[in-house]
Amino acid sequence: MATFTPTQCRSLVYRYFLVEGWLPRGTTAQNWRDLTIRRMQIDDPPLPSDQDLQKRRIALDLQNLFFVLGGELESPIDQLRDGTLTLGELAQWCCGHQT
Amino acid sequence: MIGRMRMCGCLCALVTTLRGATAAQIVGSASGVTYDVDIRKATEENGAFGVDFDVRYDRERSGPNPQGHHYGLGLRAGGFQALGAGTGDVNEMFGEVAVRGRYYRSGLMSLPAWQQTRYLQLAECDPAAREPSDSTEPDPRCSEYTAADWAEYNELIRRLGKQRRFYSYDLHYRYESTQDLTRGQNVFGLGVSGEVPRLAEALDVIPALTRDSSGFRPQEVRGYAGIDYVDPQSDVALVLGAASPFWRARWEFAWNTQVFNALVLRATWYGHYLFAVPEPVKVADRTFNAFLQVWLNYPVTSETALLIKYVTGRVPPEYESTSMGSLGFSLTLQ
Repeated sequence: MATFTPTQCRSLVYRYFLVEGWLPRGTTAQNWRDLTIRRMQIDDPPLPSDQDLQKRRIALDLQNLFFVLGGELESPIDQLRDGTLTLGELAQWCCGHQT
Repeated sequence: MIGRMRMCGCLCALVTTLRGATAAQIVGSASGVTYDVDIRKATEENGAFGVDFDVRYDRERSGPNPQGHHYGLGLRAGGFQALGAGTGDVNEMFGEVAVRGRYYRSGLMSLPAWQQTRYLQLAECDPAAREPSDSTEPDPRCSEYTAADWAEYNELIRRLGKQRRFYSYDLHYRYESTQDLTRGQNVFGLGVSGEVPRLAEALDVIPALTRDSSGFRPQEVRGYAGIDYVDPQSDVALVLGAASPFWRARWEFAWNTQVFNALVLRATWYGHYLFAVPEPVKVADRTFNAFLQVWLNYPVTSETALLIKYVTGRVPPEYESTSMGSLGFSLTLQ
């Protein structure tokens, strides 16, 4: 399994949220690192019986993206549950938790 | 430990009545345990203030490839404790244990080595991924990439969403009870949740007209549907009028989108249907209970927002038919 560089991790995380349409208005290639999970309104409002449905799907998408490129990523589901986490921090976490 | 606190207050009743507004909220997660404690007024008319809480833990066993079926265990407790007299209904507190499964499949499958290398080179050259403080010269080969190359890179990500199938299913046991835990009912059931394809596009037709084009794309409507076998331990006056087992179908839908570029419109529809109920329930017309909530947050400053909310339907725990508008404001502290 390959280990991706921090630049590659940032690129994959940024491109994923960009292409999937999660980035709110005003987000640019320069300021995306400061965007918090909460601002993207993932699972907002939550389903009472499955409060993390979208977060789990996003976690699986990211794991799959790393996997098809030859890497292996731990599930970032706990990070996605933290609304205060920024995308820059998420990318950094992904880079540090390749297995 | 991760956490945040949100404090909200209510304005005077400028529109109609003012109900259901949050007063304070603490949300966070640690070591797989996620908690949400919310001090608010009950949703129904003349509802009391109380503490709404939800604590859950879930773990899933999975390998390096996320595709396919995987299974896990979930534990959860929650409810609403009114500060004062409760309604005596049995849906105010619950504890749940569930075996959960999920299925995930994406149109993006394993790539040949040469494609992996190519996409990783593009990722390494991605200008959006360069640290602002990085003053080193980029690899000269990076300048050779054209717009077509970047479009191809984006297409790789887009393939993740193509032919994507994702849904969850669970087998659960719940104990639902009154606030004081003196009366309750055992609930055995199963459910499935997922994203409903195409529906969001139809719902977003009007909101899309109010905003400029941007990178934002409304996500799919999320839904949960379940069937429960409910066995009350004693007479449950507000629902059945008889302590006899019955079947219950329940469903939940949730969605959000953006309007006027900066506002977030949220909507939920919750409901349940009781099968083969005794005559008192039919007479009271409480076989089918559902309610719709729609609300909008208008940001006033970076920390405060005006909240406009509309609720209609049969609202638990009393299931009286109601339609009401609410107005409030929220203050977020981090």
